Amino acid sequence: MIDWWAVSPDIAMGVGAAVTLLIAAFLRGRGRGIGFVVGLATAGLVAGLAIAQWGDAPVSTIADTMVVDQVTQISRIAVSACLALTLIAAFGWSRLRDSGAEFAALLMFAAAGMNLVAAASSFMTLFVALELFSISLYALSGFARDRWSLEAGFKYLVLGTIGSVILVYGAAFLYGATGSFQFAEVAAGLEGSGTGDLLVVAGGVLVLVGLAFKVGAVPFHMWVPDVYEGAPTPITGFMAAGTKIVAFIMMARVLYEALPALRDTWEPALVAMAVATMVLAAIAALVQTNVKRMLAYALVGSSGYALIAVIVGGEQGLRALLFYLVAAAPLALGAFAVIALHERDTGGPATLDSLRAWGFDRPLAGLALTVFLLGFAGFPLTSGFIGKFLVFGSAVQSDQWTWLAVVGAISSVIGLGYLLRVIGALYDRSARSGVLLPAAPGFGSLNLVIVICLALVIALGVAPGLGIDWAGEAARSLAAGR
Amino acid sequence: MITVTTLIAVPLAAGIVLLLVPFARRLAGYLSLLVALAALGAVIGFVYRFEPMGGYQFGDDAEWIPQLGIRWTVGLDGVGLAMTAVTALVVACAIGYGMWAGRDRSHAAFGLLLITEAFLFLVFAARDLFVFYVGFEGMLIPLLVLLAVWGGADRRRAMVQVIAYTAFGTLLMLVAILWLGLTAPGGPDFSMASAVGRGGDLAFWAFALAFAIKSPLLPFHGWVMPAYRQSSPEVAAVLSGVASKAGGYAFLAVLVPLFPAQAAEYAWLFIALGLAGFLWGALLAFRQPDGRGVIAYSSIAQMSFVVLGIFLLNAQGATGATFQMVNHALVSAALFLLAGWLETQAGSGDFRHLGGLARSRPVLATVALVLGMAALAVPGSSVFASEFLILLAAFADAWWLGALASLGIVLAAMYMLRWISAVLHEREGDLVGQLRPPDLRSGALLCILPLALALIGLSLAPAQLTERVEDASTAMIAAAFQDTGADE
Repeated sequence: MIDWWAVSPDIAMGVGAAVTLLIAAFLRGRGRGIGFVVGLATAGLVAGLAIAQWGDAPVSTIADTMVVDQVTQISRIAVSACLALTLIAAFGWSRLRDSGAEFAALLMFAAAGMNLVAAASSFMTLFVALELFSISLYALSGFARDRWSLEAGFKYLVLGTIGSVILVYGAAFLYGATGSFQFAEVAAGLEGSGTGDLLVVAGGVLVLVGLAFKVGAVPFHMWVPDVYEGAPTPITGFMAAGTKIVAFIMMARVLYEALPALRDTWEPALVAMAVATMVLAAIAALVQTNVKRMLAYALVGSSGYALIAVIVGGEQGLRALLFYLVAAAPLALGAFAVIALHERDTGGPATLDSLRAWGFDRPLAGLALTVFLLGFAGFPLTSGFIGKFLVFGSAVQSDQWTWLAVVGAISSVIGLGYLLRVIGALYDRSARSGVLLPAAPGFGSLNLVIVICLALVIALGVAPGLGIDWAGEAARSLAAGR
Repeated sequence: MITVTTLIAVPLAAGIVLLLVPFARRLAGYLSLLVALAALGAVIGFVYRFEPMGGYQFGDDAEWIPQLGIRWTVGLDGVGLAMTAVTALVVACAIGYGMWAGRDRSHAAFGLLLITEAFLFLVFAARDLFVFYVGFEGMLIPLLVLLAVWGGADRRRAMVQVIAYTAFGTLLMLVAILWLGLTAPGGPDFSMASAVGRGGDLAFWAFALAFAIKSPLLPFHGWVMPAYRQSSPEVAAVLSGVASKAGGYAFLAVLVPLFPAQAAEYAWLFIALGLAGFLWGALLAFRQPDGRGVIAYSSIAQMSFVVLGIFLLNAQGATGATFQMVNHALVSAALFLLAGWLETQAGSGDFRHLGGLARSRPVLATVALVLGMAALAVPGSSVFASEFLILLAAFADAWWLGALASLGIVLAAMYMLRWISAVLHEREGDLVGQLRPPDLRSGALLCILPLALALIGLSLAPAQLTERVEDASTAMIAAAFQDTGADE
């Protein structure tokens, strides 16, 4: 049986993507504007449907391969918002002049895949949805068709596929052991057959490695800096905000719905990865001179904090995880929008040198980047602070993991270093900026994205009540599922 | 009626507007001065209406993030009121000085000073640990940007040191706050009242470390010298005058009441560190080659003395420490502004190039002498009154402690006399002839004078301050005091 109402947002996203693709095929270059409008409308529709469904009881549908609960809704709302903001941010991009509708269509396919990943309750759905959004993102990473962009797309293709393949390989092992792809049945099977079997352990480890690839946890993070640096900047923002949310929801679902019996196997590995990710990413970010690459490492580091919440688990941990991810999304989208603005301003990549004194020339963008970086560092009154507050709080409350919060606090201090380097460059009085190009087309739309993200960051930082409530409800539905 | 919330919101909002809107230099200056003076006026109103035995006043208590048990709870007791008042005065003078000195992009510089002021008010008024943390960490950002953008040539290194030290302390404190708030019986509760006596040793040390760094207490003072030397004079005045007081205030108003048992148990350590810092800072201040160095090391010494007073855990010590913080805020802010004026006018703060300034400069000589005399605690001055209270407390604790602390006060007299003589007397330095205008006139005087007048006022009527502070400061150390009594 299919619950059509529950899956209607996914159908809407899929139909919207297909329509946009047809527009691209038939109208060629003239379809650019229409593609964007359809994309924005679809994003609004999906988010609206998800909000309308918020109060519904969790539904398991399509032969139990898909679950529509509050976590799915959060993913739908967040991914739609990321999609809309990315479309707006990319609007003035010169590369889109003759392929705007393809761009919008690819983004919408990616969004559809991401929502399905967040809803997957079977390894089969998970893999299909994962490939749907990954392949769209490979293409989008290479969309600029310059050397860096193509390199990013190719690297992402190769390493992303390796990650997917490892995940599937592990799922196959688990299928061999339990006879099912469905998360609940896998969990029940593992519960019954015992977990000492080498086949089971190997399956669990492979699945974990595949998941670690997708969330970009050290030591499986090596694709992140290259891809984030090379991909067109709006796409980088989309990946850093939307894909990150979905990857972690996938990780939480798989670990807590399918593999709770293997906790003794994955927990130590996850703890090691969390510590390595937080510390190494903070140190690596410190020495970067390319700002996009620096932010990429900062985002790898933020995966480390999210891993703490995954390890803690339970209602508290998962609430912290969901809020942290959603709170980090406007930080990432906004920061990359500022960088996109800077790239259009100077016509080159954003480096610490090119940013010198730029904050004086573009006060709004400079201030916004400062706020976003403060948010990454977790300063009060930004969304990032409440996110970190909840994550560290859940660790402290569990008692067992307080030391992880301490490690997180210490690596946050290291992380402040890169923040200072960027702010120091932005407002460097001793350097006068070069000659600025006049405001390029697309400045208005980028500024709009920056302002929206800024408002979200402050709103979630000052009045996080509603967000915490929603994350709490979603966490309850996820924690109840296992 | 105006509450503390308004007092915090107005400078914060004005600061953000000033930061964003590129007002012309003059307009930005007058607007921010207006806001700072309005805040000062409101605080004077608070001081006038304050009921000495009335507990927390002018406060608000509203739901903020109920999911996490966080409430917007603010209010001023006597100690908080004293610190708030001195903050309002120092920031107004600092902005005035900035106007006189002329800063490029002054709208942003003044906006950041106002934001700092708002966060400092928040620290002194917070009755909820989350709110306290927001203020304590929040004030760091505008001060850092002020240092990073308008600082001296070596500002980058200074900035890195400030953030490495202070952020390290506050982030560990955050973990401790989380622990205290989330393990509260009956659901999460971050109010300070509910946290009293619940914390363990680890939480105590996390808090203590954050405050020791901010104060600064030996051996966590590494960030102080570069920060005080590289900041512009008005920022140095705010940093050493009032931002450092956040650390001292937090020792007295947060650490000791929240952890009475640990405070009583480890008081000896803080007394020892305070005493060491007092003597060591005074010795180094005596050796400094420039005005800022003397003031900076004397700040370390004086704040160490304050911490010593707090951890004596008796009524005179606590009141004396609060009084001393107010006095030192006025003295060090005024001295930093004066040193800044000298540096701007002469081109250097180095004693080798200065000296003999008293000749034919009556105003400068008078102001410098008044401030110098106040700093070295001439009998009859307000600093004398506060140091006397702390010494009394020290003698009550142990005679040798009082004797050692008295030694520090003698050293303080030595370095201040050296400063006075190096600046005002001795051979005329080679840069002195170039002073334009030759004497301390104009705007700069207007910014330093209110601080000096406040000192004189407090000297004439110290009871105005102590009678407002006494009740609160005694209550803060009461529980810890009882714990020490129980031990003996």
